[in-house]
Amino acid sequence: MREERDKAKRPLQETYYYPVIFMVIVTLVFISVLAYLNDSTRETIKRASEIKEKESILYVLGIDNDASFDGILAAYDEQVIEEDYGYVAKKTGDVALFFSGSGLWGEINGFISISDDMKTLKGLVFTEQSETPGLGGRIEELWYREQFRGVALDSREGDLIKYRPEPGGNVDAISGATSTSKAVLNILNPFLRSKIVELKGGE
Amino acid sequence: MAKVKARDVFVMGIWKENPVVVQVLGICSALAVTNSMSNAFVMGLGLIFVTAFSELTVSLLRKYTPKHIRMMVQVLIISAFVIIVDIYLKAYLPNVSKALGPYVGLIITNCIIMGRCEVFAQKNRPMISFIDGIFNGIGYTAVLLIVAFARELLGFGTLFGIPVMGASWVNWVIMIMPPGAFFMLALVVWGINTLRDRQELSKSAEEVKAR
Repeated sequence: MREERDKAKRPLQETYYYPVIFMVIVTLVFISVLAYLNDSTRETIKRASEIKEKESILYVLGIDNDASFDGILAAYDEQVIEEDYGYVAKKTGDVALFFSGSGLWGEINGFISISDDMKTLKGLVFTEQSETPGLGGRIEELWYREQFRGVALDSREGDLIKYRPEPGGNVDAISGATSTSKAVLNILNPFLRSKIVELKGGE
Repeated sequence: MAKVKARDVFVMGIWKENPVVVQVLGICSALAVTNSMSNAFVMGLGLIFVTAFSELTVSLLRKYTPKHIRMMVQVLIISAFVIIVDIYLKAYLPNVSKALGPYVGLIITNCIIMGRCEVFAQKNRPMISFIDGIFNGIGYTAVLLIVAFARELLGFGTLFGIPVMGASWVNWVIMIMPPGAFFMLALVVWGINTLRDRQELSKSAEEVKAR
């Protein structure tokens, strides 16, 4: 009796096509669920990253906002002009520029702003970095970023930003994260140099 | 197969057969995300969700899944739930998603999920499998939080990002670097296993006395 039942059962579960069909059906079900979720959240994700970017721009330009989604968007629309070379603050004329370069482990991206006479740094923020957490990753900390505010960009030769205690140093490096600290300046110095020349030439 | 009780599942998942401490599974992520409590916490929540729902689905499909392709099916199910977590974090908690970086996607490589699907969900009913997933996830999260507590406290002087050690505290940088994870995890595994052994010893001693 039992053997018979086994025999009768066997054809379906152990035929060569059953696993294939089963796999195809399971895959299709999961793919459609994921596709639906992906599609329905795409707008939210896009909006979130857009707001994040606008928040960074407002921060480097020193424009106050209430940090709510709507507040950020309103402040941005009101006080920032998008030019092809960067983002300009209506009130002060400061320019925020997007920079990108390689850090110790991966890409470092962010915004940096300079005053309209191009003599002072106004702010710095990192939007993307994958440095060592707790070491190089500390470039995101406020004390490190804030010390770039107000750094004078004189037109002397060589590097515009230097770490103390080097002569003419104007900011502090992160102890224990030498490579990342160096990488940040290696990205910023040539970038600022070329941008200042470019912007001045345009005037 | 004897019916498994929810209480047994609870004791097994969290204490007797804790996935990290006893079965030594999921070590990879336990080392990687434990340098801050909040990362460890979100990672734990993600894992609880994925393990529970993967076990539920595997268990629901267990009678229809051909034995020789069950691994393929399990991986497919697990990856689907991991992607759901990833999408959710990106959409509603972008900051957390950024902090965890690639580790969310790597939940799929966590041996705990596959292990529980294969050992438990494949043989048990859906509801109890779901509960088993939750408790194994909690067992994992608990160990992660213990390790992260020590690492964040000593390495950053903070807990959940809030400074607690005062200004005079000197951070132990080694604790937030990868070697610190190895030290801490090994200490925790050692400590918990010793505790459990003692408990069992005294239990068997009592049994001997009772005789």
